[in-house]
Amino acid sequence: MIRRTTPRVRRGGAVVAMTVSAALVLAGCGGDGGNSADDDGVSLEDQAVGAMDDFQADQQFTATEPVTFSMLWTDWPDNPITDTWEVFDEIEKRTNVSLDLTNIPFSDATEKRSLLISAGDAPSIIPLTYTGDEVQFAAAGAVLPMSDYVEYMPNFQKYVEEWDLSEMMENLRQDDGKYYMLPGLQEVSVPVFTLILRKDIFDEVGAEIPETWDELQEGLEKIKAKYPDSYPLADGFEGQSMINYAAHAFGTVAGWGLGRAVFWNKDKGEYEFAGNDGYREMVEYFEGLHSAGLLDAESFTAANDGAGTVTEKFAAGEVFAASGSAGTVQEFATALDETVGAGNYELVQIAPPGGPAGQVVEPRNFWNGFMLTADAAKEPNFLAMLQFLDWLYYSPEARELLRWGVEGETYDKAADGTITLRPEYSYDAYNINPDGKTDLSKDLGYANAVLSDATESRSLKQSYNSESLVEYIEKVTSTRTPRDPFPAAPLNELELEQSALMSTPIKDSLNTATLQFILGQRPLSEWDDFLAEVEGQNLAGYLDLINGAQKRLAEKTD
Amino acid sequence: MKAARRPSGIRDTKGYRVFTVVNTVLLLAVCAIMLYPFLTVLAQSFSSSGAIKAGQVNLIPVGFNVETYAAVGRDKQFWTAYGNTILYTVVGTTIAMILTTFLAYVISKKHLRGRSFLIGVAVFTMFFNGGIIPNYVLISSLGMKNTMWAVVLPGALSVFNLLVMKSFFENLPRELEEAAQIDGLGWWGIFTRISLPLSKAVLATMVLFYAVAYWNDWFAAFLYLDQRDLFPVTLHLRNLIAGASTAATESAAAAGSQKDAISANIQAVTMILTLIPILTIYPFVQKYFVSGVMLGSVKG
Amino acid sequence: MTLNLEQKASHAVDSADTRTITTQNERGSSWWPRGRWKPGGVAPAVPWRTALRRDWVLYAMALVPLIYLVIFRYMPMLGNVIAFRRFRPGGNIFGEEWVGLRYIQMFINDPTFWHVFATTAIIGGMTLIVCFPLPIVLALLLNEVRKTVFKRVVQSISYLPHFLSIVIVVGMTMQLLSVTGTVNQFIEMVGGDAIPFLQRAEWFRVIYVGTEAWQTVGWGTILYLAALTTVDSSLYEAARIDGANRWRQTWHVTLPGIRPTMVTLLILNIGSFLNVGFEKVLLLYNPLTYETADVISTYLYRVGLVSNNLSYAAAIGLFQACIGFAMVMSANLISRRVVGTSLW
Repeated sequence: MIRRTTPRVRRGGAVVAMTVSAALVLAGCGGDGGNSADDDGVSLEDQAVGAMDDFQADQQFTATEPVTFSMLWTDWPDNPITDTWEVFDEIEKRTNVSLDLTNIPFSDATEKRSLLISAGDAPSIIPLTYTGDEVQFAAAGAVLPMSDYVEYMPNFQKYVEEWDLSEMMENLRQDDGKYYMLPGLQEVSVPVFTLILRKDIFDEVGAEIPETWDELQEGLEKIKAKYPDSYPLADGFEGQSMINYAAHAFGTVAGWGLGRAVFWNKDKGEYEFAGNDGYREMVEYFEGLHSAGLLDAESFTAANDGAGTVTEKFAAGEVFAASGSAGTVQEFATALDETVGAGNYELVQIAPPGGPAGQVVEPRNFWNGFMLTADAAKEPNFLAMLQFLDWLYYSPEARELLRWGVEGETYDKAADGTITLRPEYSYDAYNINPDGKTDLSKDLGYANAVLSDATESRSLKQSYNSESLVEYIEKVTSTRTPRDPFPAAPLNELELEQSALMSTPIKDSLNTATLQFILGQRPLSEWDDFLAEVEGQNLAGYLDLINGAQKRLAEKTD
Repeated sequence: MKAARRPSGIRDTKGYRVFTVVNTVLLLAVCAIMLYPFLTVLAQSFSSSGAIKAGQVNLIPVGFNVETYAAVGRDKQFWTAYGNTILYTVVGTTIAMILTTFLAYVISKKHLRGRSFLIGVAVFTMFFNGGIIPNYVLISSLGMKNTMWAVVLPGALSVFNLLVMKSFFENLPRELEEAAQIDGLGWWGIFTRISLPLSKAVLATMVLFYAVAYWNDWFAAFLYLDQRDLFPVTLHLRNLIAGASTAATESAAAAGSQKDAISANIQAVTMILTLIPILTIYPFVQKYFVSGVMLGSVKG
Repeated sequence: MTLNLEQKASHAVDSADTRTITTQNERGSSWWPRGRWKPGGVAPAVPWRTALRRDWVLYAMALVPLIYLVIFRYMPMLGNVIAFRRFRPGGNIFGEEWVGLRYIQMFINDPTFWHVFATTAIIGGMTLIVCFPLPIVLALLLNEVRKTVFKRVVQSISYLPHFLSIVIVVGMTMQLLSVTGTVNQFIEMVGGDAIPFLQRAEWFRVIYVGTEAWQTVGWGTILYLAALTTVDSSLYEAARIDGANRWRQTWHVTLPGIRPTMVTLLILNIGSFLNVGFEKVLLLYNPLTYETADVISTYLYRVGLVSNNLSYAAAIGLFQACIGFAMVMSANLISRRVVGTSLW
């Protein structure tokens, strides 16, 4: 195994382990023992059942004896596990690992997962963990500090370095300096949600594909002139999506990206309230759109529940630009086929427009990864588990398996790396080989939503996506700059409790005021009054909390 | 229910006839607003997905087809889930009826020593419950996880139903009981020969309530089951159409939009198929809603 | 006239039954002479040995349900102790250490909590006031229908909303109330301006209560219809002979006949009025309507998105439970004093 020479991690691990053990003794905790690993968790010589001795990156992992790991599986309604699924058999064939799955329904997966972990009854491996999901469990010690174990995970280390993600990994560190989940690594990271335009309409009125929000406004005005009854721009996700990708261009965070409602001010070197000047400009911009009749107000408060009204309006020609992901494009297309007819329209996903802060998009993102519940560290085959997960999540071979299946059986790979799906197989979700009899995803289980999306190299990602998405990726990576990630400011358990209660009213006020201002329910002149109201909700105390945490971690890791 | 109040030969007053007309109109209006959403979903189940997404389906199917029904019908998993639901409902309702009627009968006896205590014990549980995790741990430690009992037992005694039934039992005339006691029947005999037969209306109601509750319940299955072939059909349906569907985060929305790629008509079909059977229970139950059940026993 | 009715009713009642205060046997009489009311109301206590000998069958019958309650209701109830102990996910389910009143103080000192509590109480109260009488009215109207077929059809249809999932109901509500929806089309037709109902805080309660009423009125009639069957039809005869018209019959025979059911349901509903439906509010509300829409459960949901603090939630849950319990006790007491009927 590759020996990682970072003495700090080792020392840190040992120190933390000793502190925790001491705390356990002092607290006389009679609990389930789920609070921390018993030994120092770094040396795994006595937990190496089934592990490979010289496991290296880009190498096939095969356990030296058959092992079984328990994993949480989210049951997607349109892609359930069926008897014909082969993916698990194939994994077992290659790695000698069989997976014992605990099924949870997709509909309330977060709640169920939270319940299982809280009750101490969760399986060892928890996939589909997004960054931030682990925080509440980390503080309680219900999940393992992965940073202690990455020395055993060569694939992970290799790609973190190759794809320049180490700084982002640093930001996952919690209050004790460790990080508690391993994310899915993405070689390229582009915003999932952006603006979808009806290009044919834009062409019709002579509007260019907008590169900035101001250009968008010009285009919308032209459309409105031609179609006065329409409200050309809509969101459909209660406004949260649009202000999210707009916020980066205005120098703030909003909507889905609001997070803790704070923004890192580089010049001042501290966190400020998200409702800063940039936020104000953004609100003014959207208010302008609304008062000019360019904005569909309802889409800013209605949730998109699948058969959302925005889709209907899109199909009915009342809306010509809306927020969405690649999946939403599909939805619009299905609806437009009914009303306008296939071939009579053109939908395009554009790179998020730029604004006063430049052509800035959201910072590069990790995608879903996994975390391990505390009990896993007691397993005799723990090392094998780490190696298995390293292979499964980060080795290109496993990634290809999880997307395309078995080379030579379901797909062929040319010398230059191009992947072609064999004609008997289809991949309906992305409209590949629609005539194929067996579906890669539904029937064989290879491209499933639980494991397949986590880590992707650029070439893999582009191998299955539509051309328009590839163009979109190209456009974003070449013309847009991801904002630098914020420095980490992890809170400890008590602070987390406090911050939950402090941040909720502040965030509520911001969200409410945003909508009120945009929709004209409150005049923009009252912006400063609004800020004063938020101050009155102990904004200063909240900012102190976060800034304090940031400084604390900065000192620790310096 | 027979209209026992209107023997022939007596004319309605004019005011009453006006009232009847108004009543009928009112009830028809009520029907209309109750029926409308249901008919729309029914229409959606026969429509094409695109039409549904385009919002074109109102009361009448657009792009009529029965393929979705066929597709759902072919899905083995769906029928397994269906069977599960039926099993859980039948077993659950039976157990619940036994528990509820026994206890309701006992606490309806006003002379019973300790009656208030029993009522208090029951009512207290209406307000104070332990929350999800303690319940989960309890079921888990009883070894009931992933068994039918985890779904059937937790809801097997509704204090609401208990109190309603108690109220009905108390309303039965005491002379009957006393007559029976003179005839030598004990409490059990009175229960089986007098109280139960006379309470057909409320028993039928309770069967209906419990059956519907079990049929619609997805929460217990969601909490305690993690093997797909034990899932009831309502959990399957919830998975299809919902979840706390306000996407609070981008990743949730991204996951959601993947899910939304499911045809909208599969959702509608599954909903109709889940709904119809339980609606058909009502006619069977209804024949017990007959007035004058107690008549003959009181006179004389 | 009505006096005759009562005399007839009281003849049917076992006049020896003066021990009880509950008046279920009065059968239609709405005036239970006050003089006959004895407080306390249960039989004089017999020693345990006698009680056991006399009623052992009853105690035996109550045993299994009682055990059930202890296992499935009371044992999990112990979990509420985490309101006073710090709970850690994955750790001891009864919490790690005593923290006393910390979480109680946390929500007492939180002004947002009190605002949210008030909203919950208001919505709950409005729901109670509107949704309690409606099933009664509908049941009475249905009772007047003579054509059995029509009655059954209407009944069955009225149950449909109860079965539709909340997501569908909310989705349809939003469509109906949207700026281009049916309601606004109608408004514009009569010359008004379209109202964005879902974006105005003042409309939320009406919308919520309206959909609740729509969903529950049909199903709620079942119990009343069952109760109506127990009203002795000879009383109607007697009333008619005495010359009472439909209204008086309804007022003096029907309503008193279903009074026990009404009282039971009222008391039970009062106890649960704070349980405003989480999912419906979550789907219907948005930041513009937080002020009137945000209820305790949705507020906790948002707080929990940051830090899943189960101890805090347990403390609030206990608070709600105490209130509900207190309300039921008082309602029961008041009902006993004022109306003579009560739950226990």
